Amino acid sequence: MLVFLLRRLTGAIPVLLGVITITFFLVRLAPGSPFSGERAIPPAILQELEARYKLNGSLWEQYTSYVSDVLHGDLRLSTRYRNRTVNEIIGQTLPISLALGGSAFALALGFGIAAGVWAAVRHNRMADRLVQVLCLGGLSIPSFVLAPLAVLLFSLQWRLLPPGGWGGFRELLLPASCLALPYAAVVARLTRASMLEILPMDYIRTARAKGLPSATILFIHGLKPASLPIVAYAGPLAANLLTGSLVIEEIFGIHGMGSFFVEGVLSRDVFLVAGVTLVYSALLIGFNLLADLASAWLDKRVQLS
Amino acid sequence: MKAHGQRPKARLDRWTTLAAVSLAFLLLAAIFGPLLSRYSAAEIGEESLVCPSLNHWMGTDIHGRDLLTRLLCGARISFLVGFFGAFVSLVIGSTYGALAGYAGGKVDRLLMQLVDLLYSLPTLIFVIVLIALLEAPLRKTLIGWQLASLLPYSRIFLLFLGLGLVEWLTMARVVRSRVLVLKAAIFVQAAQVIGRSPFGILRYHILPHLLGIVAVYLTLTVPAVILAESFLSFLGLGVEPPSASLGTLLADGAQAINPMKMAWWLLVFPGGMLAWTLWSLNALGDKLRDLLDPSSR
Repeated sequence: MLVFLLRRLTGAIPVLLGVITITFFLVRLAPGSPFSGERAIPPAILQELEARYKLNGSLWEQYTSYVSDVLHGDLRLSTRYRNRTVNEIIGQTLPISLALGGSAFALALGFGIAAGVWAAVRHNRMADRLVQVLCLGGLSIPSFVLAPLAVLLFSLQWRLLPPGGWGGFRELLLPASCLALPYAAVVARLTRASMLEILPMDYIRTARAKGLPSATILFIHGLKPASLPIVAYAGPLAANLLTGSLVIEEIFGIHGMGSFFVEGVLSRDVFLVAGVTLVYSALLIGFNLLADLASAWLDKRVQLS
Repeated sequence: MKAHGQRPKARLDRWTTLAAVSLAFLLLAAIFGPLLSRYSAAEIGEESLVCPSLNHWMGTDIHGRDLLTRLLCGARISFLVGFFGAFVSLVIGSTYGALAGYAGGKVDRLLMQLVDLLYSLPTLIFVIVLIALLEAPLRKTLIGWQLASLLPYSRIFLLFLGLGLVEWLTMARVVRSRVLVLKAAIFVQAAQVIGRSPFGILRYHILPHLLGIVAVYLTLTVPAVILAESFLSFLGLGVEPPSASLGTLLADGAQAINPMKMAWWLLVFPGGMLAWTLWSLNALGDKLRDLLDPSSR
């Protein structure tokens, strides 16, 4: 177990290094510099600027000095948001993005598993059909279709919830559910399929025969082994929620990491883009590690290696 | 999914038929619709933000353009990007998967680990970076080659490429697992014994057996690419004006709503069109996969 954790964590280092390298060179090799604005800048000032943002010297020197700075925990100054460090920007926006993504994750799993179990229990009856139709619908309605419609109905027409902003639970409810619903459909399908495989098994019949309460049978004996495919989907789900939050933040005017990322790409802000991509990738790697641990805990036959 | 291990009967149910018919309808509408309309998608009209009426079945947008016509043109572009992007992903994914599966051993393990890794990285973010950065050089080359007339399509071309580069993962997995099975088949062993080159075996003995499964997953890749394209266009990083895809129209619609003037038609119709397209492709692809790929459950 400890060996597994150590190996996975050391394995993450080359991946993160690769992510930094790719983003750094992609952004730096692209035409247009962070300083090429509307006005032409005199060469002397340009030199000054490049020195300040450590973008002088050969590309290789820039790269090596950047990597060493990152290893020391310094993600450097943003060239788009002058005078703000990338560390600072991420420090401010990461909690927002995590709150949004985390609640969407919880909603997707909660609704998805509940609907999937319900459909499996009522296999081939009305409820099952209803869940299946809703799932295909949910899969086909992406969150960026759902979100403006939800704003139109809930905020502008019925004036129930604020159309944007960030603060308390009321502000969170609409963006998080719009982000979560399409993925809740995926989770529901996975849950339904795997519950349908588990429920006809002999040990479930035994549990019924000896008179266990049906809630115990469903959620302890049934759902625990049936949740393996859901745990395996958790990694891709987190990745999808991350990218999905780019548009959700845009629509609801939430100043999370996504909005800064898009702005950074457009203005060639190499350190902001590399920093945010690094954080995204680190989050996802950590998340996949957790998912692997969870699946080993759920099914003792899974070997952590 | 089937508890008793039977293959589902090879019969299309009501929903699948409906999906196939509606897909055909959408395709025909996207191809021929703009020709039949009496408006043009780019023509700026006098009546802006008109409610849906007999003159404008789906109303007009803020510049007075007929929404139905724009929608049909948008669907055209979305389908175009979807098909070409899926094709790029097909080429990359099946080559990659076939190589991994046929090579086996360490190579296979390494290649598949990369796929697993990419699955859990926010790959669409790389596409965003790629598109934003490759655009200017591509434009320069086009101008250099005296192909300036192609300039409006440079973004669309980058979308084919970028989305194809991202959406090949599932295809690679599926092809690899199929090649692993085929590799052990007697006719492949026979080809190896008579000294055919690995390339020849892949091309003439294995590839023909992959066509069915590849076609099925292609049907499922098209909606994924259309979805990703709409996502990027919504952010303003996809198809650019004057062309518009369903995602661009949706973004326009989202911009146009405010508490004073609720132009609901600008949201409901593009959103509905996108959902309808995705639904029919997904429903069809799902059913085909259940029929032709029993291993996927």
